[in-house]
Amino acid sequence: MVFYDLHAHSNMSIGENSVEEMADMARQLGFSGIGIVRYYSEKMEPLPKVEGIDIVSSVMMKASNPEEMKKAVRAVREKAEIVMVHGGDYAVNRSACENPMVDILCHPELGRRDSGLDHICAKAARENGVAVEINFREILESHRKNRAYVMSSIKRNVKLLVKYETRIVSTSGAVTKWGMRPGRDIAALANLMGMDLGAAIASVSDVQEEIVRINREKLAGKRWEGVRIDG
Amino acid sequence: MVEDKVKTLPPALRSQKRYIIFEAISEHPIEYKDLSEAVWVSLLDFSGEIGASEARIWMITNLYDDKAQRGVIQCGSKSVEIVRAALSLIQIVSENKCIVKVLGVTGTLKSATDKYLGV
Repeated sequence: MVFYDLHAHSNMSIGENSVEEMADMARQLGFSGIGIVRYYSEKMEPLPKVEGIDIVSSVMMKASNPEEMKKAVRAVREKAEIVMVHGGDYAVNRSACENPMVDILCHPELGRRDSGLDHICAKAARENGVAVEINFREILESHRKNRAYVMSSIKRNVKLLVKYETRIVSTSGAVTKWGMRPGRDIAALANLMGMDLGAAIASVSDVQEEIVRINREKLAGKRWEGVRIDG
Repeated sequence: MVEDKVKTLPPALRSQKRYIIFEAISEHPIEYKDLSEAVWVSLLDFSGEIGASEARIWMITNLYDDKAQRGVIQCGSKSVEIVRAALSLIQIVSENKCIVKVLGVTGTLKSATDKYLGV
């Protein structure tokens, strides 16, 4: 089983630990690959390589309105292995679901009393190949009543996403190396949020690995929509 | 005369148990009693008293390996995912940042100790 965690913050974004420390902890916890997130900016240096684990470049768009997000996504698509959108605002959530260049919509329920997604977003995400994230950190760092609200929103989203067969990814969203968790344990939580256990385990493994693999093929010019060149 | 001892139930009526082998990864060594307390608090906070009662966890103190920080928890077979999730929600033990990692789940105590505790 190949476990991936595409949403991890290092000191290159809002995290505390270096890329090497995050990658080291990920490897200790059994991951084959980790996505180091950086916020979109004009200059993007290549990430360091670490022995024994695949480091994926995830770029996060944090925009206050859909237009800003769309411009940023278009600018960075050719350079990023994974394009993520910081969810929370409904207009941004919806716009991300309708944008085929977006790979993952992160924590759509962030900072809201409602769940952040409706059936229109779920269906659009499915049609445009956008995956929606279950962010473990949102649950880990909330307590009691807040945690109950957060889990309730995530469960409502999962119900919609499962109904419309939209892809779901489960990540740690860690900002320190102590925020990471083994893939199978994140999957347990995804299962409790309403996903079937097999699908929950896939959300921390196959689904994420496939997004990375396909994007890498596209970036290398070996894959276009509807065409694939073998060899 | 009937003794004050409950008879073993026939196999069909016995509760199904699972053994979760875990390892605690932390910056500095932690105390077992703090870990045990943290597991209970996490389970109670996460699933409430009713969920914890259905999980029926038993922290098996005798089998805890202090050096490797590995231990075994017995729980009901239907609650394995809930206990896994509760373990993943533990952040601090003995004032240390801690990650509780599940190494495996087995159906018998013997396979748990044989495969994971090197006994």
